[in-house]
Amino acid sequence: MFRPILSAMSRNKTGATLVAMQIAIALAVIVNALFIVQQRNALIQRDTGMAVDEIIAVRSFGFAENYDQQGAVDDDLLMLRNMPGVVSADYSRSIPLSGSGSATSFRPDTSEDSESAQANYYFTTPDIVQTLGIELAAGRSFRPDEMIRVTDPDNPDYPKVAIATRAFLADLFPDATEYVGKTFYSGQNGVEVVGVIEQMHGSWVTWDELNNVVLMPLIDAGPVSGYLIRTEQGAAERLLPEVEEALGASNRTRLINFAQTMKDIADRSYSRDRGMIVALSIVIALLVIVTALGIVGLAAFNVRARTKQIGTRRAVGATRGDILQYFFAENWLLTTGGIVVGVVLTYVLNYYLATLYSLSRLDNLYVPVGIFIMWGLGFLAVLGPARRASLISPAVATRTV
Amino acid sequence: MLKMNDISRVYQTDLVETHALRGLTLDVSDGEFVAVTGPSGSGKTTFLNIAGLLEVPTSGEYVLDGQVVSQLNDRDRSHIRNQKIGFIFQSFNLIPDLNLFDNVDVPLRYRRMPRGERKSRIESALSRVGLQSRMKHLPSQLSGGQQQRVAIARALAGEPRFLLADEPTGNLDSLMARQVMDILEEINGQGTTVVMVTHDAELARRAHRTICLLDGQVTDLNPFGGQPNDGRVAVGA
Amino acid sequence: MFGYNLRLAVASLKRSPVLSALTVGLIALGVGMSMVTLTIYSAMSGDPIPAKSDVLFAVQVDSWDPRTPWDDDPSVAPPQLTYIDAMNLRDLPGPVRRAAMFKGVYTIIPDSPELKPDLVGARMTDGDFFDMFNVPFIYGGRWSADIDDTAERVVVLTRRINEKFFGGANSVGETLQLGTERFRVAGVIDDWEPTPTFYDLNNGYFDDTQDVFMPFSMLQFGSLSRGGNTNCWGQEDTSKWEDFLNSNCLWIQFWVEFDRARDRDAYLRELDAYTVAQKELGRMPRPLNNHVMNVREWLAHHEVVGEDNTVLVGLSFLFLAVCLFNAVGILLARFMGKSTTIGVRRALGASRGAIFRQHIVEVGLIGAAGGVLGLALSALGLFAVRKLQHGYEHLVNLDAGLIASAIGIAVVSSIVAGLYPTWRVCQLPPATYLKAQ
Repeated sequence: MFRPILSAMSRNKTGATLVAMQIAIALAVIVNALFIVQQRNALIQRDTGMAVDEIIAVRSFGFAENYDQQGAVDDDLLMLRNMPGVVSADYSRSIPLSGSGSATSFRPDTSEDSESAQANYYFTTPDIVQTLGIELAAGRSFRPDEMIRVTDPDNPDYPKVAIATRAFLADLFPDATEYVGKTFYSGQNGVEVVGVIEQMHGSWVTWDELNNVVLMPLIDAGPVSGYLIRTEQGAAERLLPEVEEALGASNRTRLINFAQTMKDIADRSYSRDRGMIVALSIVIALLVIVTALGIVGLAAFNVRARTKQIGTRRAVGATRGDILQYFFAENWLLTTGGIVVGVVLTYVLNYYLATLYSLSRLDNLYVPVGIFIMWGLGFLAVLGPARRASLISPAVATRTV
Repeated sequence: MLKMNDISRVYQTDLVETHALRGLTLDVSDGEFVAVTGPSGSGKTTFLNIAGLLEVPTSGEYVLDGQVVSQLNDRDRSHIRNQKIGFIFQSFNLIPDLNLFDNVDVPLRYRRMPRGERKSRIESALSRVGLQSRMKHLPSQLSGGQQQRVAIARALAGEPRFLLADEPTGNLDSLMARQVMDILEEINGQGTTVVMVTHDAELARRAHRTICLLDGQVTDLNPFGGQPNDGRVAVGA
Repeated sequence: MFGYNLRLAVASLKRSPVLSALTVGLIALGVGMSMVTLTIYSAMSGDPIPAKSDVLFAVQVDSWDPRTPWDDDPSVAPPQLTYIDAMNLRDLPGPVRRAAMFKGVYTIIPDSPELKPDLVGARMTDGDFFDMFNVPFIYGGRWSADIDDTAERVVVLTRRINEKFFGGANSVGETLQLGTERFRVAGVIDDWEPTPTFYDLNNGYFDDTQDVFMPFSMLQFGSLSRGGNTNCWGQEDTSKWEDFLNSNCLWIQFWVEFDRARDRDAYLRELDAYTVAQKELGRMPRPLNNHVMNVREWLAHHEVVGEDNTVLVGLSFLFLAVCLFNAVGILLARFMGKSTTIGVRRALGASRGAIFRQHIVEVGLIGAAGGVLGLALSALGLFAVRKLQHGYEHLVNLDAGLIASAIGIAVVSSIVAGLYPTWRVCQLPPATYLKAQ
């Protein structure tokens, strides 16, 4: 069955080769692009541990000489908690997922040589567990009486208790099974673990230790401060301007220099990955269209060039189905030829991307997916021309055109 | 005008070697009207292609208008076709996208002729075949006979010394065929050498002389008994 | 003859408008896509200060933790300096100019009660900064060198701030309340957006420049609000400003300018000698690992051109290749469909060269149309990138060079795509297609 098809294809060798090349390159690009898209998607979809959609983050900067950070924080939190739609509000010097924050190495003891673990740390207030929507796997949040208030920036106290993520505690105390009650150290300052956070992301989404987070009860001396505000479901977007205005109006000794929903903050932190996903999706979509056009074009050309031949076949007894089958078979051969070259190209491209850039080795599952996409594409593309071929009347055989 | 000496043409494909012309020798004088006939496969088309410099012979010598042309390169052959030869085809071969004016213009363009001269030549050629009023029409708007007249006008516009016609009436009904033949005779009467390839004996009789091809060779100089008209040969030569 | 060929090409394109549009569209898509990625790439890899990029150098001194190197690759030194080293290097001989700097945060408090206070990014630096980086002034100029020691309260404003608080007038000599103090305006600079912001790559590569510039030396006289990155090691209490200044914390960028690029080697020797001397004071516990990089080396070291962008450039050119293969197929089918006409032209005296020229003009026309359309597509694409992609606002602008390269890519690719079909069409034997079919 294939021999006559091959000999017919060899008649328009260049056209067939061109389309096969398109299929090959398209396969290589589509498979690798899909792979990158999936990886980036997985990155964005990671569990942040927080109720990202219902949080508003605000940063303020006290500029006036008489600015009183401790008073301002108390007033602001009181006002925020009383706003309709606000579930809870906390002070937090920095904002998770924002790309800005503090990190340090904590140690299991006071020596300088013990194995340390790095973590994002946040100075915040007791309601933070509710505000962020994080889940405590064990223990409790800190209590109001454990709050440290820094009034003299030159002689700050260090918090005595903390809640921390399981990931961080597992890093720091690899042998422990229970973390509540353990003490870790920042320099000579001992901090007791009172609660274990199941999962939470810190400030830098590209950081290896993103899951290592420590929350401690402290309000520092300013002038920079920040608030995290948990809203009722679906109210974050709506409340954002109200919150910003209320805070701006309530205290003239500071500026609200940042107010965003946590959703926007997260989106912005992943904007490069999102951009890559969008760009690659466009490339994939256009490649599918262009390659399909190439297949349609070639098939249509072949049908036209072989009108007489098809008529003759019909005249000597070929059914419509035979003609359809002929074109499907021819196209399948062409697509498969392109795919064979394309699979090689796919791995070459992936090797190149993996060697020169930090792309990981292709998950082998993607290749069969790509192959099926190409086969499907080829089939859909040839449907029209093949149908037209099958409708050619046997009478054209006797006509001289 | 046209002198072929021992011309051979061999077509080679992977499997077979076809000898289309085998040592063809013939001579056409200035101002003659010659018909070339023969059954299919006798080498008529190959003869026409070689005579018209569309193909090169495998061996032998071809002298056109005193110049050896059998070994020229593509550019020089194109130049001679353009300057000296007019073609008339069975299927007219007008360019469908171009109107009559532009069709007749084609050979003149390749001559790099100035615009004014082109214009006057095209107009006079079209009026000679009676189609000057339809200059802006497309070929598809004309009848077959009209189309062939345009093709003749295109051949004439370049004022060729030598007109090659390939079954010029093959696609026409008898009335139109007669008109076309009349024009050809008129052109010949004004001194242009005409070689017409045809398988139609009736048509061949209107030529001064008939050359019959068989198996790539000239078999009989006068199978239909036509005689050259000496008086006419002299005219305008 | 060119005019004639052009007319024929237009007529031929009009004859099959769908195929023509498709071919033009394919080339436009390929060109548009590769132009977008290429524009972003070239903007990122561009030289932000071509006139001086070989004589401006970022200085790195490895003063990091002896227990763990700064980077997995131990030959990589931290990008910033301690305050102590920055102050010492300001006096190290060799450079014709030098500037220490860091990012500060200030509130501008307008004298007029109608205006709202404005929180601005400040660059705390030395007066040489403006001369080193060719910063253009509208009014006034840099502050004098002695202010780099006396820390007199002077400020250089950007055009935007000057417009906001002084209505765009020449404000040199006027004063402005910044935080709790008054500053005298020394100059106003014109728009200046080096991309990337090579002199401080710590917080993104394509950020806005700062709004105000103030003397670095102010930090000796009291606590300042800082932006930017600070990295510390060891167990030091840095709560007091004094302690912070004398700590191991890295937070200051340091740049030098030499007369000649090769002065770098001598300076690096000076730098190593300084480091060795510091070791005797008990500082700099790590092995000697100092670097002096010019602007290009500095940008390459930071991998400013993101991998994603390089990958996208590669993939978009593969996409262009697919489009071109497609276009070749269409052109080939289309040219071969004209075999008879070409045969007629050949019979009527067109040489192979004439046929070649006729078709290459047609292909060139398709390419030019594809280029123009591709350019429009890439402008659209870049507009979308600017709007949708955070951090790209200043980055992507089509300039004359890029427009030229878009047209160039389009015409070259369409000629490449058209060359084979054109060549094939010239090889057609003139006689074959003339017989009645």
